Amino acid sequence: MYPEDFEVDAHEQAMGLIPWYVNGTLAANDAATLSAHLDGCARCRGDYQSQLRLFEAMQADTTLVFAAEPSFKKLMARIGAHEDAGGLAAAGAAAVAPTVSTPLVRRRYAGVARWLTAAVVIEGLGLGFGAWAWHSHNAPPASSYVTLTAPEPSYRDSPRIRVVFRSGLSVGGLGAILHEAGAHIIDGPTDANVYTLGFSAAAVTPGVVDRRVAALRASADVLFAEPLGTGSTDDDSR
Amino acid sequence: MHQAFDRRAATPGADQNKLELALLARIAARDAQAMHELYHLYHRRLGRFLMRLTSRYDLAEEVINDTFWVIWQHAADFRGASQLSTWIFGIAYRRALKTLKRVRPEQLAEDAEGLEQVEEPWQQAELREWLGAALGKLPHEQRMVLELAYHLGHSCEEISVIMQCPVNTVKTRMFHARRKLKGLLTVLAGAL
Repeated sequence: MYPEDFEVDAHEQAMGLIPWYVNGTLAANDAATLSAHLDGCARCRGDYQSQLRLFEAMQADTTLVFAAEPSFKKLMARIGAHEDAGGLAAAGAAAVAPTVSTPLVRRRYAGVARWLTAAVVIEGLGLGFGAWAWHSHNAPPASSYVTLTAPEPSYRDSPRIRVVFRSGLSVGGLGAILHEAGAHIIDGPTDANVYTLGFSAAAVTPGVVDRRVAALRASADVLFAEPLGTGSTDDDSR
Repeated sequence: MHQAFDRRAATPGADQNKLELALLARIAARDAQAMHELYHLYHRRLGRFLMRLTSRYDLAEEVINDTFWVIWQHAADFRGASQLSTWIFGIAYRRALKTLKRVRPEQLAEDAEGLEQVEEPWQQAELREWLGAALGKLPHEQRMVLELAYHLGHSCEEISVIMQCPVNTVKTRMFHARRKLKGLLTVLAGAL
C-alpha cells in the first residue's frame, strides 16, 4: 500500500467520525484520534466546521409543535374507552392482561377513570365559562349581514392566530369554532394543514386575542393555536 | 479551535433516565399521572421528530398518541437494554412508518428516487427555511438519521436501535445525507 492510501484512509475515517464528534457521542479514544487528525488536516477541519454549523442550525431550528394537553386528553379518553370495553381482557394472552386482574391495578384503573372524569368536568366548566365570558364581553354586533357587494373586511392590522384543526373536523364543527372565536380564515391550509385566522375588528386588544388563543387550545378539535403579530408578515410555515 | 459538543447539556443524563424509568414503572402499574408527566416530557421532542418525518400535524399527533398507547400497554416489557428515550423514539419511528405506508404509500416510494435541486425562490430564504426545504428533499431514512443525530443528539448505536438497522447502515445513511445536503444547499454550503 502506498503512503497516499494511508492518507485517503485517514481522511475517510475522519469523515465517518465527524458527525458523532460534533454531536458529542463519539467514544473518547476515537474522539482523541480524530482531534489529533483535525489539528493537522485543513481539509477535514473544513468538513468538521461545516458539520458543526449544520448541527448548530438544526439545534436552533424550533419548528412549531402543537399543544400537548388536548392530545393527551384524547389519548386517555381512547385508553379509557378501550379499557371500559374490556379490550385488555379480550386481548387474551397479551402481556398486560394478567396485571389487570390484580386489585392494585383495578384501583389504578379506577384512578384513571376518576382522573379522566375530573379532567372532562374541569375542561367543560372552563369552556363553558370561557364561552360565557366571550359572549359577555366580545359579542359580535347582531345582524351583521354580508352581501356580495359589501366591501371585503381588511385584516391588514388585525391580530392573527395560526391554527391546526383536528383531522376529520366537520364543516359545521369548524364553523362553530370560528364563530365562537369571532375569527375568519384568512389563509391556509398550508402543506402542513396550518390555517391563519384573522379578526375583522381591528380594535381587538391583545388581551382578548390571548383569551381566544387559550380557548382554542382548550378545544379538542384544535391541535395547535399560536398568536402571530399584526401586519403583513407572511406565514413562514409553508 | 475544534471542540466536540458537550452532549450532557442537550440530552437526558443518567438522572433524567432514572426519573423517566420511575415514571415508566408507575405507568406499568397503570398510573395516569405518571403517563401525563412522561407524555409532556416527550411531546415536543417527538412532535418535532415526527413533523420532520410526516410533515403533517395531524399525522404527527396520531403517531405520538399511538406511541404512548404502546407505552401504556407495554411499559412492563421494557427491560432497560437501551436508554428509555431510545426505546420511545424507536416505537415512534416504527409507528410513523406504518402510518405513512397507510396514508401516503407514494411518499416512501418517492423517497427512494433521485433528488431535485432546491428551486431558485428558496435562495432568498433564511437558513432555517433553507434547511427545512433541503431536509425535506432527502429520503426519509437519511433525514431521520440527521434529525436523530444533530437535533436530538443520539449516538450512532442508539440510532441503529431506533431505526432497527445495523450501525454501518446508520453510518452509510449519514454519509449520503451529508453528501446530498451539500449538493442541495448550494447557498448554505457557500455560507458554511
